[in-house]
Amino acid sequence: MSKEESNTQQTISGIDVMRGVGVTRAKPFWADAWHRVVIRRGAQAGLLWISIIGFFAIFAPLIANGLPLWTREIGSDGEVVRSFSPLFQSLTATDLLLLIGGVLAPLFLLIPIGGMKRQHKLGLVCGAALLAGLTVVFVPTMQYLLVGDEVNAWSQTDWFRWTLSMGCAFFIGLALFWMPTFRPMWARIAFTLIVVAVSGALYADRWAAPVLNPETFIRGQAEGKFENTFTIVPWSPTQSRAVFYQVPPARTTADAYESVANRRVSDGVAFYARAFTFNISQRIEGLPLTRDNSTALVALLSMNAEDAREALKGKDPVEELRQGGIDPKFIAIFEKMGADLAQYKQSIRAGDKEAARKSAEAVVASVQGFEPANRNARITIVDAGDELVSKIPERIRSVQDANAIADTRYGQRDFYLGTDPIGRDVLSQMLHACRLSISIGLVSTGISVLIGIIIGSLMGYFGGWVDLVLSRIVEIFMAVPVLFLLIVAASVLPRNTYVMMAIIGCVTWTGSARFIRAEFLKLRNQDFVQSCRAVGLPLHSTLFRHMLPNGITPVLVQASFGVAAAIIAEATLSYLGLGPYGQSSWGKLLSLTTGETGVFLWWMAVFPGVAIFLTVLAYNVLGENLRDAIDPKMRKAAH
Amino acid sequence: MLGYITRRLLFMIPTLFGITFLVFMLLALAPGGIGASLRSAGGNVDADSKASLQMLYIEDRYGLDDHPVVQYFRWLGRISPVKLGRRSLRNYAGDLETPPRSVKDLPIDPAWFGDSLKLPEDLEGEMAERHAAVADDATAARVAAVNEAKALAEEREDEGLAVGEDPAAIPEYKDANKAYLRARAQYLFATRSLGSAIAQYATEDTERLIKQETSRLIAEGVAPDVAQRQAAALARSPFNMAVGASNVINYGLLEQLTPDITVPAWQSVLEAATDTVQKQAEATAALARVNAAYDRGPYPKAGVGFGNVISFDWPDFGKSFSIGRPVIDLIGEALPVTLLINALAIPLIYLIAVPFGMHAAARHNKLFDKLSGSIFVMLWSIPVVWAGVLAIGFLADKQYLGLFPASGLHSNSADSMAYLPTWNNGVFEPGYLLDTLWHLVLPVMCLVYGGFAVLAKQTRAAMLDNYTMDFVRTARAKGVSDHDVKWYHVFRNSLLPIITIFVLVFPAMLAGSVVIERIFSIPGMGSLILNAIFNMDRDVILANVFIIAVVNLFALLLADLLYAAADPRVTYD
Repeated sequence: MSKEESNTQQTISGIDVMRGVGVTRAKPFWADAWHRVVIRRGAQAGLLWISIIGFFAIFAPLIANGLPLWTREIGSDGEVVRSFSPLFQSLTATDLLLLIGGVLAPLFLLIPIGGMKRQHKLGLVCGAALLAGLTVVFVPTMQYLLVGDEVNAWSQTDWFRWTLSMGCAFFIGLALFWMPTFRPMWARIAFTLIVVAVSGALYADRWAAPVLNPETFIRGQAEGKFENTFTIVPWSPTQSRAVFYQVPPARTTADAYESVANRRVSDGVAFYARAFTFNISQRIEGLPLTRDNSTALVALLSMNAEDAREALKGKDPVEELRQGGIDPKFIAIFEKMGADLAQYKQSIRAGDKEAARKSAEAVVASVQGFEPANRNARITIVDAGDELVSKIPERIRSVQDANAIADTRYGQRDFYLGTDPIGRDVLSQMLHACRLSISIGLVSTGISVLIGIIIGSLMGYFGGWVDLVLSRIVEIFMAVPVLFLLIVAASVLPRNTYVMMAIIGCVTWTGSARFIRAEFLKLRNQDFVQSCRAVGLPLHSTLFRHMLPNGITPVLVQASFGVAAAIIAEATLSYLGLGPYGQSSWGKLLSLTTGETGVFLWWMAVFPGVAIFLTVLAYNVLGENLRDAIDPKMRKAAH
Repeated sequence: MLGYITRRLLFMIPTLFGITFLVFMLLALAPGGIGASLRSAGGNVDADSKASLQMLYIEDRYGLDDHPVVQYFRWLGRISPVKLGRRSLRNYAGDLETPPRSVKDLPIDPAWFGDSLKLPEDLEGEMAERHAAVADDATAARVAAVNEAKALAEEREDEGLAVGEDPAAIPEYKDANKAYLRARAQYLFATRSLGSAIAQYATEDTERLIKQETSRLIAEGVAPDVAQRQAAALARSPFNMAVGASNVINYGLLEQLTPDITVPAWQSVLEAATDTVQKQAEATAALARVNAAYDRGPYPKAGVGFGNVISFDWPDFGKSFSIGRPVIDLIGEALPVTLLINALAIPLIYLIAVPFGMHAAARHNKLFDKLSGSIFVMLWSIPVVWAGVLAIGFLADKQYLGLFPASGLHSNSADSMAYLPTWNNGVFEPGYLLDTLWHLVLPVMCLVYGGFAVLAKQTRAAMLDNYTMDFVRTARAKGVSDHDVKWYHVFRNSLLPIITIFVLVFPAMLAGSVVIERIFSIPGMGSLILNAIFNMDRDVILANVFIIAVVNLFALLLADLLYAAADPRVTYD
């Protein structure tokens, strides 16, 4: 009802009604339901978020990739030898198919071609997606079945991969040409064959996409060999360096290097200070080191005076030691050692190897003024002193590295959402994980609804002993919480995405089976079903053509919640370490919140968690709205 | 009604078979098969190393080398309250003494080796002599042991506890059992040595063939190095085909081959075969001895039964592979913890969700309804893992608020605490109870929030259903106040579905606590199950699945019955 119409106050006579004035053509059921869903705010927001995630699922390799989008190789005399796109070269067949589909499908849907209806076009897109998806799954499965894990000479040949890919594609085309896409049979076959042939060819072409190392291009750029143009997020989800461990959000590469250099120098000195403090004897006369004294001494040695005072909450370390009853002559030595260590730090920062060595040796020399309690303690102190000297080159190098990188383009790269405990960019991983989340949610729910429809419709239509036997199967899966079965299955079966989709699908189908059964029990005695039987329609036609469209509504509403549940299941399994191998996932990121050192990394908890939460919320809100829109009781109540 | 209940109870049996079979077969799919955790010897185990022999022994002991289906039926036999065949005994410690298992057949017919097996004339007689039963008065030590056993039995009889038919047989049974286990293990190891010898033989046979082929090729005029390479590529002893990974021999294939007795390694094969046959005979003799001792009845028989045909006993859930303790004990320790958490969580859910649901229904389509609805959907959408991680990170971690303990059920010093909180010289000591509750705040919080949405929604829907009923309109028309309509007419009628939900909440909570117990390191059922799954601890997993399935199925039945009891319109006849 548009506003304009309801505002017009003119009366409509019976003749007008007969002429059709004021009559709006009734929409088909699903179009009407969809319209009712889309006008709601919550559903709009949910759809928006899901489409954002879907966008990243398709375009993540283009948006977040450690390989340059474009690289120009510079020859020795400064001219461009060749230009190429390492990113494009490294894309897999799946990436490419998704990219092609992601660009073409919206164009095809939006641009009016040949007077096709929108829903017809949508059907074509879904059909093409199904065909391409099956090809991408089927070809590697066949390859695995034929070749296994061995490396054979014949399985490496071009001949083999093209035959296998095109053969598989052809068989999928044969098996699926009945899919309701086009009306004339020749167009249908042509459409199927073209889609499968393109995906098969892409797969053969990208049989083993070259694994390029992003570091090659970064190093090449530093050496002036390459000129790279990177994407917006210039990190691959697996790319890491030891320097990037646990970098908080919104820091650059240079920040990471600098903080590592600082930490190396200060930690080295602090390590020495602790080793020294805890190994000089309390039996030395005039050196009664208590716990408080020790803290003050470590602070005095490892920091400069102001920092130490701050660390001790404003107390002066020298004063503390003096009040602790320590002999002034020792305090003088401590002060000198502290000054030497500060000098050591400064020299390393300045890159002066000799000065650093001299101050380190001065520190070691000052130790002679003490006589540690036992031999072991002495050895520990001497070792710590050696460490101070021997690590000088390494520490100077890390400071130099940090300085060298500070002003380069590489140094200005951002870690927008920080890095994980092994130095991989969080944002990049999160973007790449969108695909896993979306696909697991949709595909596993698809599988579960499919199984549920088949089993549920048989149960509902036949009743009797079929119902009895199949009910036991449903009960088997209901007897134990789904999460148990998921964990058991995920821990014994191979860890890959397809298996995980299958597991979640095969364990969660009971809900839809029960819904379909209940609907079919009601429907099977209705006249139209009786007439189907009387006319002698084949079983599949009665079940899926005539009864299913009348009974599928509750299942579809449930499916929306099912997608949310599947996403949560995937996150939970990944959190428990049972997720697919070599695949970034939000749940896996969550499990890394407590890093190697047991420190809580807030950014690892917040960002992936919010992503899971919003996606699940979007599907749940969509499901709620769908149910409200479809449920006749609710609709009545709303009026 | 009674017929309905009986039918449902009978239908439970195939369902329980189904779920345990499903889980069993899933476990059998695991890399390394069932009990893979037992074989965590690490690295590539050499076929003859001590570790590999140990592995072999353990596999034999738990019957892991059988086909999974056989293993499943054996498990069913233990679980089943109805036992067939020889009855087990229950020793004084309460453990089951099952009838001794039979000795495995020889892997290959000794006739295959020809006449060259150098076996003693009367092998069986010799072995029977070596493993003859020791008379109860044979030695002084035995006499002492028999007397002790008799005294113990008398003591037990005085206390009214069961004793065996012949308590004096206990020392003989123990000795015989020990000897049998040793003989059985030795037979097992001899079989393994036979396998290694055959593998060695196959290697040497191949070398011989290569040599032959090379000389033939050289005679044909092929250059020596080329001939060598060609021969190495082509010549392969048929015996190699029968040798599998880690020297497991396919004896069926082997039996069809004829060995070449001129190869030197054949001698060691013969020796190993002789040893195997002897060890088998020895194990058989030891079995006869232990069977005789067993039949004397050293311990009381387990369960109630009729002769050796059929008996009834409690299910035997077996022992954990990885911890070595009875599964029932492990569950007995873990279950109270989970029950405690749920006992705190379920009332909390009801206390919060039901009033919210009622109020939302009363204010249908008003601001409160919409707001509470969307808040509950949001809570419902928070994954438990995220809630747990956030709670630990921000509320428990010392870096941030550090209000609550991050893991476990008690503090380290909980054992020395008083039970109730006390004031001690002006210092507040929380005590055991408060300490435990304090540890449970975060887990219970994580367990509870998801349940709000479900229950609040159910309450609201039930209330709304009743608000549209005719009797409510009638009551309103009579002028009954809103308050009375809400409480006496609508709420009372909506209570029924809310109560029946309770039956289903518990199993759901049990599942929910899996992840939560993991995150907060609480030693409850969830942690037990998860650890068992990660260790592939067959008996623990199966016992848990079985118990949870039974609880679940009974809960479903109870829910249906309650529904019928609450709503007279529903009948099952």
